[in-house]
Amino acid sequence: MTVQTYRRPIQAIFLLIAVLILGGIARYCPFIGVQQVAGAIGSGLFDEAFDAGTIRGFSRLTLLVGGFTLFVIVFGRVWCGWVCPFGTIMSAANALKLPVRERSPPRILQGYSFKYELLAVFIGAAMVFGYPVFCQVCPYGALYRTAGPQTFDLAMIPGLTITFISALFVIIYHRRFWCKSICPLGGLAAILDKVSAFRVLVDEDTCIECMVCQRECPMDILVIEDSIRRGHRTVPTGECIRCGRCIDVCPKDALSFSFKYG
Amino acid sequence: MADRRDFLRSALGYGAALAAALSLAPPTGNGTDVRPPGAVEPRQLTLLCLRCGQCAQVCPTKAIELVSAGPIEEVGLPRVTGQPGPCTFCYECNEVCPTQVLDLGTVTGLQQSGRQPKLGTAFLAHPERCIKCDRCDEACPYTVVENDLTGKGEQVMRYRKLLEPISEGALERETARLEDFCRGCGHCVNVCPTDVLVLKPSDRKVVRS
Repeated sequence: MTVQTYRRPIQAIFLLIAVLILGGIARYCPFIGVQQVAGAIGSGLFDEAFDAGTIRGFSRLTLLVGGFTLFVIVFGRVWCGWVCPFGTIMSAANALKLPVRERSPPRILQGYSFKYELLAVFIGAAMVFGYPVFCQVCPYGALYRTAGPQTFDLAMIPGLTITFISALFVIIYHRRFWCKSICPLGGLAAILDKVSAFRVLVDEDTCIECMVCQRECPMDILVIEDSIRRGHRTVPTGECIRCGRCIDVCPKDALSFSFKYG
Repeated sequence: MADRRDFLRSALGYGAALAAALSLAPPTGNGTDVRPPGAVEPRQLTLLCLRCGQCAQVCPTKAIELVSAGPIEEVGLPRVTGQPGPCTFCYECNEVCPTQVLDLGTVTGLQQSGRQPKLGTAFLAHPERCIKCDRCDEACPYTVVENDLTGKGEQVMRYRKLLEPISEGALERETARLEDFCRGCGHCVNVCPTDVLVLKPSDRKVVRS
């Protein structure tokens, strides 16, 4: 049994939920909540924001943002690798293996840092304008507006175009290009993820440093170079989405999930 | 560590830009549009609405239109004007709204306590153009309710008369009664041949069922 045998069905379930429930992905997208909180801070409408809408007696905004924060603090970016329907769609787009030549993205989009800048910009925009600005350009949002239970109409075309273009970038640039370099929610998760104890543990005694895991990693993490070669027992958190591919491909079964620091 | 330093430096830059921008723009809420049923108060709506437009998509009578012009924070918000269709209070918009700014909970809460949500109140904006055709009266689904409530052989309330200011004192009294039963659905606006009626938001959020 590989990790992927569990992960794929779970991803599929969350994708189905996102597409089929009334209201779509926006029902539980935490970045909406984060922007609304930012907007509430910016406009001084803190109580009003938390008062609007309840789920079983609890404030919707508290559940959404608090739930996400707690989840990521405990499980890290399992959110990105197992739950987020957009991550699933992007992986699926890449799995199509379309005959396109891979390119490297423009310099500003390389590496991990651009998503933090987007996070800062859009939280700032939410505070200044007082509404969820990112949702207006979000390809994830464009998708639920189209894939939900509503009928198709021409007004959906711009949104769909954004979705397809971003999926195209993933195919051309990199497997998890969206999650690695663009997604502002991924950036927030990456910051909270630093304290998560749910990590990939490397068994120093078994590892033969064949580096297969490093080549397999969709987030381009230096699995071995940044862990046991630097004297750590675990792969550094932040960018690891806990997809478990490294665990699956390790010929010596030296990698595993564990709740350990270090 | 270059990554972390870059991050901190850009964070500082954005922080400064944000502080500057925040000192310029106080966000406001629009109190002049009529919103779909169960809507939160105007400032909450501006803050929390995603502008996803699903309410307009599911509305069977196309009563909900999305604001397409005006201040940037208003664009994309849902409103009800009675055109091209009136609100039938089917509450499908409440069921689809992902952020609960059109809150189904508010609506069901009201209904359980024997009340019905009210969007606003119809208002005779241009009395001089009114041709007194009484089509609004025929179209109003809630006049019947009012007759039942007043009961006791009282004179049948003519809807248009309610809208039409007669004298200063009467206007106040009649407006109060209109507020009592008009739900702001826009059926009258929809049928009005001379477009003299508009919907206005009301301080009251409920009518008796």
